[in-house]
Amino acid sequence: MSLAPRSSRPTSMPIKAAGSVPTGVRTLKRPPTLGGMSSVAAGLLVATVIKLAAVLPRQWRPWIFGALAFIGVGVMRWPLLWVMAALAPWAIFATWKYE
Amino acid sequence: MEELDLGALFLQFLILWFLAIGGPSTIFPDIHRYVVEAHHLLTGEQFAEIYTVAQVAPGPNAMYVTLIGWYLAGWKGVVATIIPLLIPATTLTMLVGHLNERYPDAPIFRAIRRGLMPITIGLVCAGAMILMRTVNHDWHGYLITMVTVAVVLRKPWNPLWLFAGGALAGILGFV
Repeated sequence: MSLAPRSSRPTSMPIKAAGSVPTGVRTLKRPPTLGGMSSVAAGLLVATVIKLAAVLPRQWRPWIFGALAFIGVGVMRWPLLWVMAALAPWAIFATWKYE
Repeated sequence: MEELDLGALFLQFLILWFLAIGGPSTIFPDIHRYVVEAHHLLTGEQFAEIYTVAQVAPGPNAMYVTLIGWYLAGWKGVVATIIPLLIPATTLTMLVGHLNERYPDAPIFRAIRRGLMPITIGLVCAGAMILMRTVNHDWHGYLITMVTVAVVLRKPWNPLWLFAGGALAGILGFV
């Protein structure tokens, strides 16, 4: 199914400035507030990671699985489905067996 | 820019929502991979803008996914991204939640919860890295990110105050 979706997009979007033009081109100025708020949004994600990691047991196994998930999805950019299929069964099995 | 295949988008989100263990933040990197890197439907910056707007706006965290659908194809895009969320994933979640409530001490549920926790952390960490590298072009941006982290870890403030600070930094031309 192929559509021409970006021309029929709602016009009330606050961020529509960037969408209707080819990649990397901006015709309208984006609001100046957005850059700083994006940095805050990134900070909130980092803080979430730190909060979650703080309660992770101080053993090597969970950290290995966390690192593998990070590398597979964040660095290698492999599809999440493959990474989960490869990691999740082992992570659950190892926890069930050894904890 | 590629033509948008709504059917493929629907399928992709159907798979993703089943994998969204630990919340909608865990599928952030994979949505980015699909929409930005594999199919060039949005630029990285557009993706970051949509995510930011969804975070600042009230409502559930998962709203950024809906917003991406809206941005790509209007209401059709919303349907393609939200139906996979509503029907199969909530059914699965309710089923697992029910079993979990009924047998909270079953070793297998404990193993699933504890075993998947580090994977969740790794995925959110990947999302944080992707977002940071997209939106922070110099040390100014990283400074705002680091201040945000420090405040969130120490103070119980509403994140909206931080967003207000970030917006102010933007207006003053800091970023």
